[in-house]
Amino acid sequence: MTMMIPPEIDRRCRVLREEVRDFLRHEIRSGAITPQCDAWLTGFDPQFTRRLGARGWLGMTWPKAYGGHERSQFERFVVIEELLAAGAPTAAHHTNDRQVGPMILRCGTEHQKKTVVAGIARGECIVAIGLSEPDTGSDLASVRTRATRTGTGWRINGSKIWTSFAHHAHYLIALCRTGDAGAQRHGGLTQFIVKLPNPGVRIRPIRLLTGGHHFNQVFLDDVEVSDDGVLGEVGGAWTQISAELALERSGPERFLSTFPLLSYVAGVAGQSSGDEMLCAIGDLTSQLWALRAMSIDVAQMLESGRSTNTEAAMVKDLGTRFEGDVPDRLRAFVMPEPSLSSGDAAQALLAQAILQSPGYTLRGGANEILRGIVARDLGLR
Amino acid sequence: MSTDTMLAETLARLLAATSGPADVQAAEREEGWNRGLWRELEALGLADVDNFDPDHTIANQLTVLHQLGRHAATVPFLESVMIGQWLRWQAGLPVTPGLELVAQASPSSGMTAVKVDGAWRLAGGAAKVPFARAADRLLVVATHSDGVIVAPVSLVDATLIRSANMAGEPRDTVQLDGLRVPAADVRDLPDTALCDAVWQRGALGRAAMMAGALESALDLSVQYAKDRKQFGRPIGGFQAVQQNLALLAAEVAATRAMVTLAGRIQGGRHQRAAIAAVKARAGRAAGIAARIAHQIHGAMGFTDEYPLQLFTRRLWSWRDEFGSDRAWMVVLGGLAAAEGPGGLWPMITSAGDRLHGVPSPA
Repeated sequence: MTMMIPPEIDRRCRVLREEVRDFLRHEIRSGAITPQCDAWLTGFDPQFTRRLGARGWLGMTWPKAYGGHERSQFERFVVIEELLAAGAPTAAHHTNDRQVGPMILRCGTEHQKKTVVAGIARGECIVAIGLSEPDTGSDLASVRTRATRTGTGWRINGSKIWTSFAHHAHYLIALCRTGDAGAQRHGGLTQFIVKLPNPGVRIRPIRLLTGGHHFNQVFLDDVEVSDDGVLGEVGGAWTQISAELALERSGPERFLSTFPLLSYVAGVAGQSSGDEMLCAIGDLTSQLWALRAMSIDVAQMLESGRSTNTEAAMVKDLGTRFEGDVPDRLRAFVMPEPSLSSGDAAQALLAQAILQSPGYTLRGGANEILRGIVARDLGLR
Repeated sequence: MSTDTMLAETLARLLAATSGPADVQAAEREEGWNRGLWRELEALGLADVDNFDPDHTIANQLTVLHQLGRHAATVPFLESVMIGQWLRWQAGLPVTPGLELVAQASPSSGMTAVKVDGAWRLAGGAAKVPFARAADRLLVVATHSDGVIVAPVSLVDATLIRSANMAGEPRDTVQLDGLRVPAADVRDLPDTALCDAVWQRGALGRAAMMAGALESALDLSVQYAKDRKQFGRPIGGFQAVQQNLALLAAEVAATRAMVTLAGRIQGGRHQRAAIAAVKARAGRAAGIAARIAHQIHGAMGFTDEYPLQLFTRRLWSWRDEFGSDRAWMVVLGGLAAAEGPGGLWPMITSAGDRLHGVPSPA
């Protein structure tokens, strides 16, 4: 079932797409940015993020009162996918623009919207998301970090792990246990916005196998938060987080992380390339094309307010496996071998795609968990 | 309710009554096709392209094909309506009653024609012509020294060698041995690119049928996993089975999404690329889906009596018809490479972009 978008938005999308492409061409030619695989998670460039904010390409759908631009979801989709396809360094804002802003707009206080949301839209405010814990991966109900009431607010103790960019962040959103889980295991969880740096918060880097650093372990020891720091309802975090999951799972970052490699290899292929190489490019292109069609379907369903958990799970399952397939299929055609430090673009892009590959099918919910969601929709559990 | 939805519902009712597993198997055992169902489609007006809404003709035909694939219906809708009648119109041939199919083995090879004394003499063969035995007339695509002609030929004037694909569907060989056709009955094909266009329509239509067959393979597998008990519970209760069914469901969804997209970009500059993508994607899904569906069904799935094989044999056959997935991957890779550096992304986003409405032909 396909929904047509209104002609006026359609026209604006076309114009916008060309604007973004012109901008990115200029950024790349001037040497301001270099296309990379997985740059939405590893390409941390606050200056680039501010330049996007200045152009109105952050918080595009948000209310103007909070720094947004009140544009359609489709226009946002165009900007996001153009940035991803170009391998632009969007890590300083990607998840904030995708889910932190919308969540605070949905359930935050006026003050939180005026400060945090508006800051994200300007490209000046970085928020780290503290969900996972040392004993909590895909099963968020097992969160142990605890917030207890004090006379003036809350006191938080515990630790978070795999917290991307906590070392650069101005705020941490910490998911905490504040009460009993209840029969459904989903109760008693509350989110807090913790200002950083903070005397009770210690941040320890966790280096990646690439040597890169975006992950951290975050220790919270007697961190004091006032009632103003509660995000949404006390005990209501499960619902708040679930509402964002479809946004997190079905977006184009779930199939475009290694596109810069595919694009580069396709771009240097020619009539003299053998059938094996053309076949690999064609195979990957056909998968990508279908994924994009699925992702746009989900975006349209979200826009019309329909539930998309299953469809979003399928996009992420297929899309992230595809991201890993890209270096698998193309490595045969990159000579002589992948290298992060190579001046040869193909060798560098291939090395990035391979070294980042373990994360594709894990982040945002392990694919096995997502297939469980699909199985439930099929009536199997 | 959209015309597509109404069309799908009407067809689903008809096909439930006329193309159940027993009907499909009877068709395979007997004439090789479901003549009764074809008569029903004719009675509904669905066997005539002129009855389709001109603004949505491809989308509506793909809806029909999807439903036919879902029911493994053995009728020449793709070959007659989406290809035969279209080619007749392109060539400027008059409308004549009866079933008319295109005899063309591949976009490049076919029959040859020689003009002698104001008439054309046609010779050569076309292998694997779908449903040729069911036709009243064949539209023979033949090359000659200066171009390509389309000549209507009565089936009785051709030598027919019966053959079938792995699903038992008619894929007959047609041979002509110097058959004389008056020049007045023959038309020049205005553009030889139309030979490739015929092939593209076949690939798109087969992909739509594959999407339907994939859905049925999924539905059967899910139901079987719920019904079949082992170790004291339905096998669908085991995570290993659930995971595989989720993989199968994703293949179905990807194919369906790509069929819808490819159907919308008829006429755009990247039409051929999109059709290559959909046939490649459907072919990939077919292999994965058939493997998973059969693994879930155990031995029951590969028996004659159980209907899964009606769909998996079709998927295994259809993925190679009108160009295999691999052949289309090479085509698509070549088209992508031809766009030059940075050209792949604009190709994917400009062609009938689903963010946009109807594409503007470039």
